[in-house]
Amino acid sequence: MKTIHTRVAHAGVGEHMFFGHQVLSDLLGKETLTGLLAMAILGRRVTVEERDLLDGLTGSVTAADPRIWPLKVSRMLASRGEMLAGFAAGQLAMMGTYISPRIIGHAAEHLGRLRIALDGKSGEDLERALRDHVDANPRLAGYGVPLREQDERLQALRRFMGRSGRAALPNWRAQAALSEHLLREKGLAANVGIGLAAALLDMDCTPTQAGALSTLLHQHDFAANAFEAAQQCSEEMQRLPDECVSYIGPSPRISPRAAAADRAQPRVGLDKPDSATP
Amino acid sequence: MNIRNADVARRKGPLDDAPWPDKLTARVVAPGDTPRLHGYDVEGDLARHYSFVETVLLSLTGELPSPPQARAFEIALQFLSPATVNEAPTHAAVIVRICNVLTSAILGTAAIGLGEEARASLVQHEGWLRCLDAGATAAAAEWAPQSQAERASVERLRDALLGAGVVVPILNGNIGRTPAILATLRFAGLQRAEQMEVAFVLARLPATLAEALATPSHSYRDYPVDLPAVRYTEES
Repeated sequence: MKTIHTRVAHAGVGEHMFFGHQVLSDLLGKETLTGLLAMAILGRRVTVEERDLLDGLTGSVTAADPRIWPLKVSRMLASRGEMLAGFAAGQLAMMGTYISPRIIGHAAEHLGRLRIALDGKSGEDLERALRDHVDANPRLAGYGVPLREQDERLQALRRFMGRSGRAALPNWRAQAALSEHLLREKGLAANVGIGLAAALLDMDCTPTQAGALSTLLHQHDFAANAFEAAQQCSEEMQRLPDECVSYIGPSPRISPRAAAADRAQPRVGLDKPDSATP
Repeated sequence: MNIRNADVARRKGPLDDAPWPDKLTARVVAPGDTPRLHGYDVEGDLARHYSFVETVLLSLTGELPSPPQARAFEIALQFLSPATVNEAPTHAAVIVRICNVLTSAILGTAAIGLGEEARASLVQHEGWLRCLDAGATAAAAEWAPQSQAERASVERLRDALLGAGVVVPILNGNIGRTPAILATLRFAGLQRAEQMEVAFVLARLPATLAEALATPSHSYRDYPVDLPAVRYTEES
């Protein structure tokens, strides 16, 4: 049986290790929650500037409206009083490919390729490279804004990136060029996902790290909803009245065995539907 | 709420402005005093005339199974059912039990673990499902049993089915255990991989939970914490 090697941690006597750092001596009081979460994925301490960036990204994607699908899962499953049940279950709704920070990983993958393709290009060459990228990737992660014309989170993130002096970094510039191209050529607006992907790539994240790290940036959305729902124990979250359900399945029918039993010995008061499907 | 925040909160957002249905849509269970499953009265009909296994198959496929399909499904579930403690779903459920938590947490852990295990298994057998879709009558070498024990297990599956009067022809070939079980589930009426994933989880959940519940809660010191061995390193 093979030994599993871990870089994550070791519990020692009087001191613990976390990614090469002594927890109680080197991290306690010196590293922030954001820094520790970043270490969990990147395996290294981030700089103060990178930490500020992650805090900015977290602010830009804070969208905790309880009606948002995964967050509603958290509320429903916490509504019997257990916050952790809701907090954990809501995360599972993020394992998809449509409404999920995992999209950030996909966005980072194609953006990383585009950044290399755009390297040193300008004018018509740059436009051609953008067109080739769009043609080669018919479904580009990070684009498309449902229910509104622009993603207000990306607009705010653009302002933040400008203020923090990161808008000139190569992956951010690549997404800016692609976003402008797609809006102009196809009327397709960028969403905050491509912004997150670009910012994380410019932090030297791999696409896999970008996807995982972006998942962590949403944890407060889930925590807030799970905690509040566990306090409220709302009956409506536990079960909606039957009148709230519209049934569109098969019409009432009698099973072949019930029909045979009926023929053999008719039962009084059996609720027979109009048409039986054997 | 201060005036500035109240102004923002009063403005409608995209979730407020878009049209949404005002009811949940039910496609399987009709709620009410006499609930119906795919149209059949659960309490007045199914409970009197059908087994639970037949009801499960009805749930998954939308139609009542024939007697051979029901027996094939039941036998496949039994072959899938033993989830041992050295497999991650049961092992994890046992740890959660040791941590002295609510039963609902053990249930949730087991279900997620079994779901992931089933998903991986079905992904591994995508090619085999395509063979079944194409009406394969024999298995290619890649789906052959990997050991004598596996071959013997498939023989026992075939015998159990035959004993129940069920013939799944492809099981007569040189076929591995999981492909044989998947072929049996297909015979029982499950067409899609996601239906088979559900069958895997349903079959294995009782044994997984039973193993966890048989473990004394709070028994931290009786648990082999370093199995498998994990060693800390600072090398990347």
